[in-house]
Amino acid sequence: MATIVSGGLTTTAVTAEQSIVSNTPSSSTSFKCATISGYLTTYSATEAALGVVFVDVAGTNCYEARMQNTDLASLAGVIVIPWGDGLLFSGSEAIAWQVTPASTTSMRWWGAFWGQG
Amino acid sequence: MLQRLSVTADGPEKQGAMYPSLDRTIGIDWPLGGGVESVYTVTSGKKLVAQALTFDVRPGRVGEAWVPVGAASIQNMGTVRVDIGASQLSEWRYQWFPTPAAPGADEMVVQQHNANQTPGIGEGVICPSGTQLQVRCTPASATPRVWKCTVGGMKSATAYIQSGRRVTGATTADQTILSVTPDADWTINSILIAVELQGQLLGTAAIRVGGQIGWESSYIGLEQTASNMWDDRGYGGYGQGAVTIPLWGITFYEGERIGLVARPFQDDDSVWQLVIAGAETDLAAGGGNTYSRARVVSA
Repeated sequence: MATIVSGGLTTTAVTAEQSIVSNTPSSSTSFKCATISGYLTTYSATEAALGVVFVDVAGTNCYEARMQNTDLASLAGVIVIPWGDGLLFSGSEAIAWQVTPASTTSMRWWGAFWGQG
Repeated sequence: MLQRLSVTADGPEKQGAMYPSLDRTIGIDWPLGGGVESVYTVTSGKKLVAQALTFDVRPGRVGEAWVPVGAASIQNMGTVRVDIGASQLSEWRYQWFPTPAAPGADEMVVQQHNANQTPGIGEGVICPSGTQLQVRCTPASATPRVWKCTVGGMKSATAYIQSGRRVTGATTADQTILSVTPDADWTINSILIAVELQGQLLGTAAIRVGGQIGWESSYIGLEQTASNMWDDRGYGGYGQGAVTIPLWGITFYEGERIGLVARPFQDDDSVWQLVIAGAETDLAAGGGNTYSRARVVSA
């Protein structure tokens, strides 16, 4: 059975590590992939830092990346992290996409974990 | 199997095709979660063992054009003529004015560069019943552009407004934008002509899985002269010009849906696609073990 956990956050706060999506998967859920997108709520061609995104597992950041808004010649970030044939968690750990926005400009974030079981 | 979902951002001329199609120019204000959706549903009695989802946009002819603002100048767009029956009502040349840009900018970043003209025709011109009204253009260059025309007036005491659209990169003379033959006298009060050169901002998209949004794109545009919508600075996945979400055997069961939600900002003939890679097999195959165990327990 497909288990796809996703969630969005529209924010103007610069609070650190705001949760975009969080989930405590069962010990039998195998996550194959993680995706994250970030963009300005209102389009702007001005190049700017959007913020830093994190994959948080049980309170520990295990991945982070900065996402940028760019002009029309190259676009704001889309990150796809393939996890091969799947990652299993203990059943009591929460896994989350989090973000620390770089400014108070309204931004939209959408994160997901794609899994099975 | 490879299952392709697609949405074409184009005019009504392709309605009735097998894929969803837009029939108007779309604004930038699609509501969150809105858009045109093309859906795959796992066949009854089957399951889908999915391996990957790949999303991309094939830009349309118009969207391929790129406009340098620094070099912007008055452009000769071509000529437009209006005919009623055998009588030529009007003909004029269409010019584009220079486009202001932010100081120091070297690229145009507007979504559409619009120019429109409204020839005044006073209290109206009558297009007699059964007589053809034609609005035609002769582009000055082969740059793909969208020509639009709306003609408004009164017919049988009610408003009668007709619109036409032509996407063309040809300089052939007298290409039809709008052709109407009214069934009663039509008093024409206004003619609006617009020519657009589409920018690079194509829109946004999402992938809906089982009723929820699984993936949402950032803004999708074009590299300056290439057809890649994501280049090496902006996109952290793999593939060029496409986003692939690996699924490694995630299984969907009969009736479950995977949808591509496209939110094009322009009717630029771009084709929005989602390719589902996987294998659709009988539920009884493999998964049939469930039934076998059930029989054992019952015994």
